[in-house]
Amino acid sequence: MNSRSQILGKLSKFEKPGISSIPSEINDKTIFNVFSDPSTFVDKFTKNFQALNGEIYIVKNLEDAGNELVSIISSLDNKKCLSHTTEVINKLFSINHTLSEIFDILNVDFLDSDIFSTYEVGLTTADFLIARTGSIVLNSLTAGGRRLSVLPPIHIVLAETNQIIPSLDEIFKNDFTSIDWSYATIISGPSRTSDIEKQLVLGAHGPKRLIVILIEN
Amino acid sequence: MTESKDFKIRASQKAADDSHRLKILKAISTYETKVDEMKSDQFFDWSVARDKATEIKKYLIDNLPGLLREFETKITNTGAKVIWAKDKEEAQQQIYDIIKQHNAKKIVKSKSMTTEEINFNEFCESKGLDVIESDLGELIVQLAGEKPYHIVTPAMHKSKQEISQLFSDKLGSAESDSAAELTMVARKHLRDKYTSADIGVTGANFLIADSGAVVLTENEGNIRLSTSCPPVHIVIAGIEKVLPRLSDLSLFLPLLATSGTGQQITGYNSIFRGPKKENEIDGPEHMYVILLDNGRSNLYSNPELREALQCIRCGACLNICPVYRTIGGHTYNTTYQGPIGSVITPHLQNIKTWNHLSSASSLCGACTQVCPVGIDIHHLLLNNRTKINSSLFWKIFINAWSTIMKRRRLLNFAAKIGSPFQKTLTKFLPRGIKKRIPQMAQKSFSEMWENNE
Ligand code: SF4
Repeated sequence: MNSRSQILGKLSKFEKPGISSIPSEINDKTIFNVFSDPSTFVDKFTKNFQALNGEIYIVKNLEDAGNELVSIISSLDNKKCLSHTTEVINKLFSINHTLSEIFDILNVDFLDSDIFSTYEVGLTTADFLIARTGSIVLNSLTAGGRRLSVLPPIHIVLAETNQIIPSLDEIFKNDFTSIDWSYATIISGPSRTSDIEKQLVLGAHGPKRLIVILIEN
Repeated sequence: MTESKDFKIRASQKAADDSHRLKILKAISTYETKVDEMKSDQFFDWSVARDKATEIKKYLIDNLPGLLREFETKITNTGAKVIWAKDKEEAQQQIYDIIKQHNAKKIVKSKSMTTEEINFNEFCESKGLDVIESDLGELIVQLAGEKPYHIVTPAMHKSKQEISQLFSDKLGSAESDSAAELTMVARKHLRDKYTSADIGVTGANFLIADSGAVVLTENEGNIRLSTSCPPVHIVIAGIEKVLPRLSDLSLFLPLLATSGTGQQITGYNSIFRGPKKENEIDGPEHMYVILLDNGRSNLYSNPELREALQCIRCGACLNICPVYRTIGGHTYNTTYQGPIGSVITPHLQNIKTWNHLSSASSLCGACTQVCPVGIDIHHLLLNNRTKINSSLFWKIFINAWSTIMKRRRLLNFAAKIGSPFQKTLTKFLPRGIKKRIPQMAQKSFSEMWENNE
């Protein structure tokens, strides 16, 4: 008998299926302090995101977003920037030529992580922003795979205000889980550690800076 | 010498070590302030959250084999391979087979208690493989040649000075008294390890039955890097880690973060559904999930103890435990320390060797009170204790005791005849009890009450 059937066989002798019905789904409103008024979402997200040491720029439109991005990058020593392609990023690069010159576009040549490692900035989009926790949710399709949002020391997220949801439970309520991604992550602030004497240090292994450019719509 | 005698020696040494106690109390009080704040900031009512989590975990325990099968089917459909391991040796062998199959030399590993359970590092090193711990706390204990001190904060017992000395000895960095600088030393040391590794190894915080997903929670980003760059991802997960639904995470992620580190939610909570898809640019080509039993089915088969499998390894019961705080994590000499470790270790390993841990508790019940998934930890410890003391003498003694305690008159009588001997008796109490025991009252409260005194 193989290990699988041995383990499952032993467990099955003691299981009690049907003794209780499956507990109702989690409703965050009954458990957490959730903000349900959509007009407060931007404020709440901003406040909670900043509390996690995230940097946020709220802009009126894509054009302003481009200008903000150019000014962020101009203050960096290493200006090597990498992005993937999505509809909104393509649009941004088509209206802002400075950006389209600065940014390299992720493609199969970047499979070698050594080349990847020379980049300072990774630009991605996201799926949701969460007002209650100040988090960003993205997946391997919206964020150009797994490395772009974690390997470069600065991660910049281009998002829109209508992507803000009140709390975590909404992530699992819609199409998000049926999209065929292999990887998704909920990001709450730049990389951090408190492993040395419980003191908070930013930039442990992942991005040292996390920046959101939030376009109002 | 036996493990139990060794334990006592280590415990009395640590208990008298003031500098150790100072470091631990400092770390734990920082933790406690944050946890209290977060419980009231984030939750309407912590006990509602806890009850809900307990309900879900109980459902999981009742339905474990079914949920495991569902998880297996779903994650296999994503292209990941599921492997079952009965014990440590089998898990080691299976991992070694994967390593050989992929011709791997370098392994980058993130913090995982299951890998500690199976002595992953020692095993790989004995095979001439290069294993790098990527979590900062784990890296510190690895460089120091030690075992993790705590299931959540492995290097809790190390001061900045000690870490600075260690880094300068082993990594050749300049000494520093800044936590930020020391962290940057580790960051630099590890950076190219992720990109050059052949395999990334992780544990799992949750396995999700309804979507065939593995969920990992962290702050540093080392897990994300170890699962993004190397071409192979191996997950080693205990079979009790399943949750029925992906949507359960909206409770369990904040719950674990709050109890574990006093955070609202940890920095990165990642969901893995198999190796990279065809239309994805990167990610591992292969993903293996090793489902580890290693004694868990023993716990499962004991109706009184199985709720110990509800544990989400948040570490709250360690932090609150007056015994853990006094004797420290290393004294236990186990993978899982503190109250929950004392409950499960005798069953995961060997009851004869390890059941002394069940007595390493004052039964104050603080652990039960803080546990976010409602495990009745101190009663489980009591339950373990009855297993050690099954001698005839003990049975007679405990029967007599309970007969007396249940009858008022007998108790009064026993107290009466007992009180003159009390002074003499206390002389024979084991050495080490240095407190003076007050004289027993001449009359009991109930007698005084009856006589209206
Ligand atoms: S027993 Fe409860 S408190 Fe202790 S580590 Fe497990 S979940 Fe946390």
